[in-house]
Amino acid sequence: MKKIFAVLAAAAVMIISAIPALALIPEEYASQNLYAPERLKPRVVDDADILPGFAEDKLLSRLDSISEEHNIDVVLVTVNSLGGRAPDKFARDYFAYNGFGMGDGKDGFVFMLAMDTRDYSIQCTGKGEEIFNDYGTGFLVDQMYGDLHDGDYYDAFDKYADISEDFIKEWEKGTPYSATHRAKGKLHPGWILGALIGGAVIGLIVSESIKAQLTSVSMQHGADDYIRKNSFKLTVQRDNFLYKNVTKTRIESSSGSSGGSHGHVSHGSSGGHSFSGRSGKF
Amino acid sequence: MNGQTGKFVGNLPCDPKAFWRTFWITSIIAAIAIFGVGYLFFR
Repeated sequence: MKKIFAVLAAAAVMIISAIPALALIPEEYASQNLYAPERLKPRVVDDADILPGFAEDKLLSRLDSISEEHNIDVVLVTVNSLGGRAPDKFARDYFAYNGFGMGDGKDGFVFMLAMDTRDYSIQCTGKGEEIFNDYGTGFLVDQMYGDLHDGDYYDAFDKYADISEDFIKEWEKGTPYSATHRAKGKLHPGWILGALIGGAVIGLIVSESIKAQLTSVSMQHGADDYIRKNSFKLTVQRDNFLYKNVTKTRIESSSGSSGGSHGHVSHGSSGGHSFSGRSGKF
Repeated sequence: MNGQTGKFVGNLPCDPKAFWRTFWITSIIAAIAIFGVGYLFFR
């Protein structure tokens, strides 16, 4: 009896935890794999409630303005639970069944954060796939990863907006960022400290070496200067090998990855539209 | 000073002001150069 009760309780907990995730994806479209005909949700949904109210409003107006100016839907969603879906599938379904995407190609992309499993996923469709190719998603995640890992979610999403706009603008120029046309990120703050320490070391070496020229007399620990050059001649020369030392190192096989060090590239479809993107843990 | 060659021999005094001036100028130039390399190639 106790076991049955425990199983029922566990099932109830799973269902309750999945309810918010299910509410985010309209079942009427998801069950028929139909792309929602119009947008059903705002471009920023903080269901996990990890952003202060003012930040959510600020991000929403920013993403609205980028999306409407460039006709590319830039979407952000945070959830507590994925409701049993894989992160990339959840992001694709959220985008498609909530009717995001602009134009006939449903152009746009979504960044999704799941707090219980600490998953992230960015999924792109239509022109979004050209804007954020494998290199682009890798770059975006690399730039956001530190803030996501440290819990600075607003900073991370602010970078998402900045980088999205930059990538869209570059794509509009006809030169989308790629592995051969790399985007510029922010310089790591460690470079400032490194430059100061490196500069001080170089400065010290240079000034000390100039100062050393003032000392022309120094203690000698030998009489090498008194030896006549080429006066030492060896009559017998022989090499005796006494030891053999062999070192073996295994050559590790490299696993292929493209565009960025975090997460893995994923492809799939929702509502009849193909998506590509990147998912991983933060 | 060697009277024939004109060369100085021995431990000559160092002007501390000149020493630190050289240090600061070289350090600042080197720091800017290092930062510039990072800014251009490592972003």
